[in-house]
Amino acid sequence: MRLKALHLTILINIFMFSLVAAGQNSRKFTVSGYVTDIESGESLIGAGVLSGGEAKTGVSTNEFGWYNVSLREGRTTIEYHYVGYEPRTIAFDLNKDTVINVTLSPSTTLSEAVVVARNNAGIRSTNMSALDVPISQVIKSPTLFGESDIIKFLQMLPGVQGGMEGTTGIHVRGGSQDENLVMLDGIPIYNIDHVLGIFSVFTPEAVKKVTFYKGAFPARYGGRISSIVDVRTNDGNLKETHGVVSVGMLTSRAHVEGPIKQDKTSFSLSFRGMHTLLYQPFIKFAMKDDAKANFYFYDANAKLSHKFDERNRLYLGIYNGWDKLTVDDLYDEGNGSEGTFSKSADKYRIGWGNTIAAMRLNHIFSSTLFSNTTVAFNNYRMSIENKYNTSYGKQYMSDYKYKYKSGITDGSARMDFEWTPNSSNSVRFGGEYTFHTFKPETSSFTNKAVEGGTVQTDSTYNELDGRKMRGHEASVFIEDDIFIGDKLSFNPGLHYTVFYTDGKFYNSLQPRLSARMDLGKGYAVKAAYSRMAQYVHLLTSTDISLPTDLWVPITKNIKPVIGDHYSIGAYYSGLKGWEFSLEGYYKKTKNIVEYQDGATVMGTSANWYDKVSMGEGRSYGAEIFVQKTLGKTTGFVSYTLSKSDRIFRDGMVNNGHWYPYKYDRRHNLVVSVFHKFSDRVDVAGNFVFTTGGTTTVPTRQIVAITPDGTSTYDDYVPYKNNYRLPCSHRLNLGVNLHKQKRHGERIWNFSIYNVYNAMNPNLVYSDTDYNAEDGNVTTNTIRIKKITLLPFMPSISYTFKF
Amino acid sequence: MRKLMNILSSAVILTALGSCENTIDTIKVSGEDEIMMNALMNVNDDVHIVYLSHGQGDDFRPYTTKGELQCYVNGQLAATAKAKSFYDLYFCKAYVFNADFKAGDKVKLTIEEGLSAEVTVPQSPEILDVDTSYFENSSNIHSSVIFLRTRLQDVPHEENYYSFNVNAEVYKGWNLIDTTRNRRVTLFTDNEPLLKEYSSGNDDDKTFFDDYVKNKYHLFTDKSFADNSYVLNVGIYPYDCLWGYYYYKENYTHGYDKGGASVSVIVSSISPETYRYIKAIESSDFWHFEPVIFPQNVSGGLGFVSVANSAVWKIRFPDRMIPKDFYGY
Repeated sequence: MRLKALHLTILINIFMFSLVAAGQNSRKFTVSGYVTDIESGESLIGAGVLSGGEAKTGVSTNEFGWYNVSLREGRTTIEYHYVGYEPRTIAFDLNKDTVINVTLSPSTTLSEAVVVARNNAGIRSTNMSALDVPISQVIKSPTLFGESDIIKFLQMLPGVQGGMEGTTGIHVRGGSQDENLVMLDGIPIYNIDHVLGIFSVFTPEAVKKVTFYKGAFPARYGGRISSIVDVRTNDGNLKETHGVVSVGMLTSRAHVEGPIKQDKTSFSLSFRGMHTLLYQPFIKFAMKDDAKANFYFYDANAKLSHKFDERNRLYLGIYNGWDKLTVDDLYDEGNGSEGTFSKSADKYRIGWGNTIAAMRLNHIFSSTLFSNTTVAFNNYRMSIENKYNTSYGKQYMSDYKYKYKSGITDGSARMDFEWTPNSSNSVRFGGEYTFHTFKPETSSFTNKAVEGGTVQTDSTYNELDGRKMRGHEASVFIEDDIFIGDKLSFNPGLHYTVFYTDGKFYNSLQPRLSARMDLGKGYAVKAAYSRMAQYVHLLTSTDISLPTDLWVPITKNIKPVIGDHYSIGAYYSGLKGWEFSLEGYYKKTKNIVEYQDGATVMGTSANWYDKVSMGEGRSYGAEIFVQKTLGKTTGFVSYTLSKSDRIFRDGMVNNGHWYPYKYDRRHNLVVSVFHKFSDRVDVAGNFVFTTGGTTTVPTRQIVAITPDGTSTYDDYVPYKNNYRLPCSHRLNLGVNLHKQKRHGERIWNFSIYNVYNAMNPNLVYSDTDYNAEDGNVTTNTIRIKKITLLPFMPSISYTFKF
Repeated sequence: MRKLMNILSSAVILTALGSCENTIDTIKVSGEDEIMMNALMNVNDDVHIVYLSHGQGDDFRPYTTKGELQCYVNGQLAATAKAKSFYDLYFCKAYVFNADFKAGDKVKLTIEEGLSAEVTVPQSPEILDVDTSYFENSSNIHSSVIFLRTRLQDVPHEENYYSFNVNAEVYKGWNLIDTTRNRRVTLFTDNEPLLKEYSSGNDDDKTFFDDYVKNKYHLFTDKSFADNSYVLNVGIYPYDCLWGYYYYKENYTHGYDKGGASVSVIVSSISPETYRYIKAIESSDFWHFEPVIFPQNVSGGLGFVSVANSAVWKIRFPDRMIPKDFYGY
């Protein structure tokens, strides 16, 4: 990777000029503090802080609700805004650095959208292709089984494709699933799926804010190519104890938060679990009398927040999620007569999940310098166990056990700083170190047999003993939000990463640059460039999220993936309550990894690096996004026109020719509407239309000669992903019935997924059918078949908020 | 409440069960009867064989060319093949010719119907030496192993793809009475990471995630030893491939003859396309989510042609008494 010296010089000059120019002004002081919810004490992320009279300038609070702004000495008025809250204005004489902690009250009326120039995301932000995901809209959006899901909401945004219908995979601007950095309070999650991708690991009640970047990545982020999903959880109510209990078709959820010591220490607990009891009778009916099967998953979040003083806050968080499948097949002939009864027990256990533990410390050095220190532990593991034992009276006993394990463990430490030297600059810098331990597959058998009291067999066999791979990853970054007057803003940045593994040292310098120009009357244009590097890969070749999908590091032969994003956009927000955006992008990637043609994906991953090839990808497109944010009816329309293809020049995939990416869906349209009839009734609906992705189907059969000197025949495929699937579309509707009760609010939700039963394909395969004609000449027909798993699906859920 | 829950859950289950399989599209491929030309040749072959087939759908038949099948080496006509039914295979008509190939030669096969394929002969690797040792398993003699530690020198300055094979032969006097040339020798590869097979025990012990592709054609690349030498640690089972030589039973009723045996270690250099082709052959043994792509390099038709170049190291075993008439000779 080479960065042109000219690009680097330009970035440094912009940064230095802005610092010098801004420093020329007369005496200024800094106003800083926290913005919180008056009822819960919860910090408000992205709250607007405006000042400056008619020519207002604004900043926004950071991920911990902290802000600072540099203002001229004298009479000062500051306005504080947050969507869903009453704005608040504070006027005072500014003659020294001042700390003002502000509380805002929830509003019962929908207020006008506030112009905030310095948000991390959104139409008014310098960063383009970034969006703050409204959690309230996520919760109300009708979904499969009535289970609101953050990741599935992201699938409705422009530039984002879902994978197999109904699953939580996201493919952002032609990227694959492992190219998304999904973080929980700043810690990456390796596996975000439950039930093979039907659900994600996020419980909406525990989430405070989600920021989604699909291009123009700020320099503080790194490690993935295509997108950043930054999920922040609730800190806990510092005033009173509140909670939510919800019972749905497949899962139940509970969330409770409250103070341990009022205004000082709070807790937040969330749990979601799948209840299979409802389906147990049907499972028992379908299986043999003595066979029992059960599947469940759960997510548990716990967070503790403590405020030492105005300058120091501590957060402790733990997340644990697990999927488990158990199958027990028992046989007991027993008739009480010794020596004539036999028993056997065959038990399978398959489980996979994540555990994350993190400690965060916020420290305010001064009114202009804020720091966050994070230390975290992150583990993903998967295991399979099979125990089979048989006995025949007391004469014979055998015991067989099989174990399989894989996983990845990270230990990390990170420090971030925010420094606001003046009103025109907001600098972020910091560094991170992560120690990765990749544990490839290990499996072993033990077999013991005893007959007549004598041990006949007692052996242990290690089938796979994958060598642990370790990786050291360190990165530093610096970025600056630069404001030149009211019209022009830049966000230049640099992210530098070093990665050491397998005796090889890699490094990458990743420049980032975003720019925004306000053209007046609500019009604005933006442009951005980002370079990203990725040092881990997910080995998978299926549409569904399998527990055996394996995260592997780069090696001395498998290089880091490098992605270059170019994007440009035009925006309009001059119409009250409406936002319009049009963006175009071009993305190219190199060293993407894919299984070679013919490589097995169902077997072990030993020597996986010999089964994959490195190649290039390119994708480009245009995205239109129209949002209505005010009034009783809100919603958005999202349209994407895109193209994405790949090439592996070593010839090991598709014979070295360009081929369309599997999720190269040319058109993607989403219409999402939410209407509030009254405080008691609201409805939501979304319509999704996409043109088909691609799949590989044979067009005939051919004769082949084997190295053994025999002949055979097999399917012939002219090129990979040679068949384009038909369009998919569906309509989802939902209604929420609210009622205020004595101790809280109850909500009934009735949803229908796929209202008109569109038979969209969940799985596609080809089937060759041979028909004899005239008895002499046979013709064959290739039938492309689909399996639809998600037809018309009604659901109901009950929620109680207290 | 229970009744309501039962009704609701039944409704959900029934709708889920209502999901079904449908046909999206039907492609008729009965159109053209295409000719296929296939040949996996080796520089060391006594004769080179090219197979012609034709067919549509799954109806394949041997194909007899209207004209001649010609072989050009570096643009010069080197041989004209003759149809030899002795070498025919199921679906395939065999055409046989003699020609000498060497590394770097451009070999082109053509038939009058307009099919042609051109390949370049790769450089063979060099076998520096082969060190042998014998491990006898007294509890199970048939699991005894002759280790063949083959020191191989990679072809420098290029990416190389290889296959490994062993040919075992048994002689009585000067007469060859048994050879493994036409069958694949079972190799012991557990100690060789480049060729390691992953099955354990018998098929009943396999779990869902076991690797069914055993690299049965023993392919490997030079990624781990590019431009250098490497020692392949592979074994053979003498009681499998040298049965007549290793079997010695006292007082064999038919008596004994003097005989001998040899083992040839063969390391073949193949093209990247041939490597992918053989991998595709292997992977067609089991189910894939998507069809496997077979490389094709015949223009004007379908098929695959390649030439491999092998290094051979022959080890002659000492003569000994072997059972007379053991093979019916």
